[in-house]
Amino acid sequence: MVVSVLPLMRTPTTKRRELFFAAHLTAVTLWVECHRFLPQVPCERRIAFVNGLGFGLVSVCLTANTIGYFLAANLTQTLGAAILLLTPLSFLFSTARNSREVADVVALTLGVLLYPLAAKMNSGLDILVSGLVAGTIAYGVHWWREVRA
Amino acid sequence: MSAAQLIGDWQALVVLFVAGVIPNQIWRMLGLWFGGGIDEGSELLVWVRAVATAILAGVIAQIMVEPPGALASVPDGLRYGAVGAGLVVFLLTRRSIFAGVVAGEVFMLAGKWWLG
Repeated sequence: MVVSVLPLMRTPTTKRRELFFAAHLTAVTLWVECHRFLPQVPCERRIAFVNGLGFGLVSVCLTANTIGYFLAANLTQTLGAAILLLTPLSFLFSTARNSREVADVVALTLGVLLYPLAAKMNSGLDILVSGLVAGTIAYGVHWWREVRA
Repeated sequence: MSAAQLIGDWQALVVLFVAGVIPNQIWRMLGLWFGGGIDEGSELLVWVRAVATAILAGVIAQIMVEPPGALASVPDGLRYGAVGAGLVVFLLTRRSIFAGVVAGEVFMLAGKWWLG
């Protein structure tokens, strides 16, 4: 995620240390929103935009963490399950909203479908394996469409 | 609640902090090093983005297939049904994340209430 998002905010004169915070603030939401918003932000303002958005998201996250820590023991099982279900649902839909190219859809769909297969290998690296395979196939689809076009 | 009660054994916390930071930092610093050198429009970046998307998809699948904690109390079919219902609403509402998440949650809660 860090590798795929940093080039979006770099200009020829950007030094690596200016990307330090961006590299540390990168998480799912920031990654998704960067791909969505950065093309509309002028290049020289992108790092400031990402730092602001990133620190804002981290603040929300820390606040929610603190509340969740005190709440966790007192929740009923159903409410606990509902909160845990928020993560996969929001990750799935926020990534799906950003899928404009066919390759994005292939990566997302195959990534979900290949995980149970990779998990059967019990390698301990199952997500990495399914991710690399599904991502490479998705890239292959992208490449094939480029060649035909 | 005193500070000691809230924080606990500080030495254990330092160990936890270091153990958490090191594996995280390795990948971020490598990412900074690699990501700082790739061109915005390059083909390599398309591949990296596809793999990152697929890895995130794997994380989502893992939570659904091997649910953590309280989520394991929801039957398999109901969990998958909730994602399916959320997905249908998400697509019908022209990709509204909020509508999709709410629909998935409502489906799961209704199913759990109905199953008793």
